[in-house]
Amino acid sequence: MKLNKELSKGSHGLILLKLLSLRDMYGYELIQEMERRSEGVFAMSQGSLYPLLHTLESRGEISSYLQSDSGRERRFYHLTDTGRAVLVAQEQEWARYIRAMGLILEGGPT
Amino acid sequence: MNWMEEHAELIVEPLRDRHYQARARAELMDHMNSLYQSCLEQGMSEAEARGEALIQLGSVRQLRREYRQAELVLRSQSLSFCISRIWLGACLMGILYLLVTLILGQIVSQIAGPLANDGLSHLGGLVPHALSGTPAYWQEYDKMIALTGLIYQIPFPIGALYFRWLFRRTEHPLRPIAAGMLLAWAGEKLAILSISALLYGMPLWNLPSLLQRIHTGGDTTAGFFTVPYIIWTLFFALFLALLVSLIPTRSQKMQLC
Repeated sequence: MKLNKELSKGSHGLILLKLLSLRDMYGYELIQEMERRSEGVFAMSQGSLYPLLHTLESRGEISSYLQSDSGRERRFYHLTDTGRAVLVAQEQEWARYIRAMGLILEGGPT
Repeated sequence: MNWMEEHAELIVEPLRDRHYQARARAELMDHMNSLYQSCLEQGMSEAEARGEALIQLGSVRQLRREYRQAELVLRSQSLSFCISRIWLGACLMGILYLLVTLILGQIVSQIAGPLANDGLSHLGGLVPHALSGTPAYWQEYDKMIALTGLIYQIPFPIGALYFRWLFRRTEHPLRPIAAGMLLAWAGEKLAILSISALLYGMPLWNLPSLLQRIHTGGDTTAGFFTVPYIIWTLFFALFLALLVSLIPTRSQKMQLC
């Protein structure tokens, strides 16, 4: 079941950085991996992926290159050192966020 | 043109950068092709696969808007964009400076000017006749000069805010804003020097002689070439650049919320 759009929107950047930390991928592959690993929960409008990738690239968090794949020339994306540092920082922030939400929702320490 | 090319063209049409447009078009077409093939492999007919691929790609209107936003962000990081915007901002400040000089500067000078003349007995009606030549008289004169000096600072904060608006999509706006303010600051000095050089018939590159002529000849612009004024205006320009770069843009405010 897909999440409320507004809830998942803010996490797409982090998801893309995380996926690219595993290996270099092209756009369609990223979408497939996103859906597979999240069991269908994270499924963004597919065309929206590219403007987001281009914005991450303009920030220096990822870079891109052209490569032949199955007879087609495709643009692959790669996580940069800057992106790796951003990913670590955002993962820590998410961990804090999830813990705090968990405490509240599960009626944590008073 | 096949349906994929047509659809990609619809989405990228508003983009102005040809290089970015070509890249976006190629990526969209490759993605649509992958979606289409995937749908066919699932057993859909060609028409069904085409329809499903277009649905999964997303709304054309939404995508046009997102691509255009991404293009603006990309463009704001480019050197040519920064240079063109810095020039634009510096020119605006130059025009403002000219307006301030022609309008406000003249008004204040007409009020302050007569104060330097011992023959006059009043301050345009602001100081009673009895105070003429007294310390209070000169206090009012100093206030007028200070007011004139303040008025000539008006272009700086307006220019700084304009630079902030010009670089609203730039990730780190401090550097281009500071560069713009420095250019405007240097332009102000150069403009005044050029006018003085023209008036005195002296070459601009003979700077020591020109400055000496300005300082010793009772030139009203002499005040602009004192060390305190130069340091003050340089500091003020850079301070304003730092201050306005801290103002969050609308998208940054939305992220904070």
